[in-house]
Amino acid sequence: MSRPSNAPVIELRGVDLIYRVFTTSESSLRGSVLKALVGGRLGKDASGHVVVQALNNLNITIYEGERVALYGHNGSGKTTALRVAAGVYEPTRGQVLTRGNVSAMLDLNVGLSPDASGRSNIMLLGLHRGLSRKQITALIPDIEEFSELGMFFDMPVRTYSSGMLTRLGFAFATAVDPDILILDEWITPGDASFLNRASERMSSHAGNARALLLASHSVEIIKRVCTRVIVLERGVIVEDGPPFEVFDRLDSQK
Amino acid sequence: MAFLKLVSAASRDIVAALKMTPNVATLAWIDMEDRYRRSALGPLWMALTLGVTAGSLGFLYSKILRQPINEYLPFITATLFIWLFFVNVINEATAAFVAGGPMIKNSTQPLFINIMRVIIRNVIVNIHTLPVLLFILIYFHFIGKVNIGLALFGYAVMIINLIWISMIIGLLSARYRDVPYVVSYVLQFFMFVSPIFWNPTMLEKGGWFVDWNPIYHWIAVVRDPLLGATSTPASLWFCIATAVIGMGVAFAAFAANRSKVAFWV
Repeated sequence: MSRPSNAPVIELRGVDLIYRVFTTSESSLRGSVLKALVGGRLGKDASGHVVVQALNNLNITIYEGERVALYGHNGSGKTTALRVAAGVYEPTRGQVLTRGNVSAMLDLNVGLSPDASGRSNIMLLGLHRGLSRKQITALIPDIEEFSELGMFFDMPVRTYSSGMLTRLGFAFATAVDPDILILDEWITPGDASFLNRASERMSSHAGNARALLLASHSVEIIKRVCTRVIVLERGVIVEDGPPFEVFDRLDSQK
Repeated sequence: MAFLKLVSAASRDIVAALKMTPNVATLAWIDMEDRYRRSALGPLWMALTLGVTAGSLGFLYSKILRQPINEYLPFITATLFIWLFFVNVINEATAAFVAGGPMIKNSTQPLFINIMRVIIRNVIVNIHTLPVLLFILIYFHFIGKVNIGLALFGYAVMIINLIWISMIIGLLSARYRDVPYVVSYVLQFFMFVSPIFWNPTMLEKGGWFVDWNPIYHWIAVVRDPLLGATSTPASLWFCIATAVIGMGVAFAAFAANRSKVAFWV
């Protein structure tokens, strides 16, 4: 695998993420969850609480220019790893180092007001990010053009198809000129070409390191968009490499 | 070391949130617009609530308590003006983190924003009810007696007290889902035992549960200057002391639990 002399932009060093699960009937659930196969490793901590080990000694280094996908079953730790990389969750042990602006678009619907127009929602998303009204207003023409929503840009977001919503989200997430773009699973195969354009748009901005980190369980998207795939299983890395090689290996194991 | 790390992370969170104050204010304003969307009277409902409650209680209780209406009605209006704000903040604080849950789990926004949003939103609501208070104070010739400086100082101290109370209640409510019910019960209890509908001067004996009632002091330092009286220095010092101590405790609780909130909500 070519590992150019590019600088690392995200480093996860020995990251463990363990959290307690709160249920209304913890005790009755304990027996059944321990046997369950989904998710990370479930167990009990010293005081007998049900805990999930979602990530187990995860070491990931992402270099500038890479487009990395996290792949795995439901509950393999993809989204958790993204949230740790984005700085939403603090790791229980280990370190997360990021170099550059991170723009994380984890859930498209969060922060959106369905009754407001696309334009107003961009204002909302920007305000939530800590941008000033002035900064947001300056970004809007670019977002309007890139999202290709036409007159829908001024229509309530609840009238949008999922693809249109995706384009609005992309346009916003890339407009803030991030060094590192982190996207969760909301990309559908139909968006792959748009995603390619989005990441080209990112790398076309002159200057700093650019990297894309996304979670997906669509092999098609990963093959079309990414330069590298990391396969997670129960919070542990089981494969890491170029998508075509990795998926060939996975197929041959079946 | 671990302790210092928690403290610095919590301080960074609060500083980042404070830097976003204009954004939070806009978001709080949008909350309000959403709440009154498609309602004809809109925010006037809040003024109406104060006006109708104060008016009807004023007439009724001035009879029951045998108080002159021209003193009792300004008293009850000023009290309710503050009390409704106080109660709304605390009740909404129970949902501060829970309601912000999706944002907390999906963005790197500072956590303290959720507290600021509750406070700012309710200050906006409170300002909408101000005309009713002003009308009553003018009508009953109290307006000339208002000590604006002291009232504003009292309001500021009350807000600082509300900030730490909201932080603690917000954290507890996110972790223990029974807390919101307890909070609304406790508030109701305090409404009856605190000098809300009656003036402590009406009480001849048994003043200890006024003297030791924190809610009385928090409210009195705003209400008294509004009615042309001066709060006792004891009330003022009590409010300042609770603000300082409360902030310390709330900051410690916030620092210790900040990174866990994303897993609670």
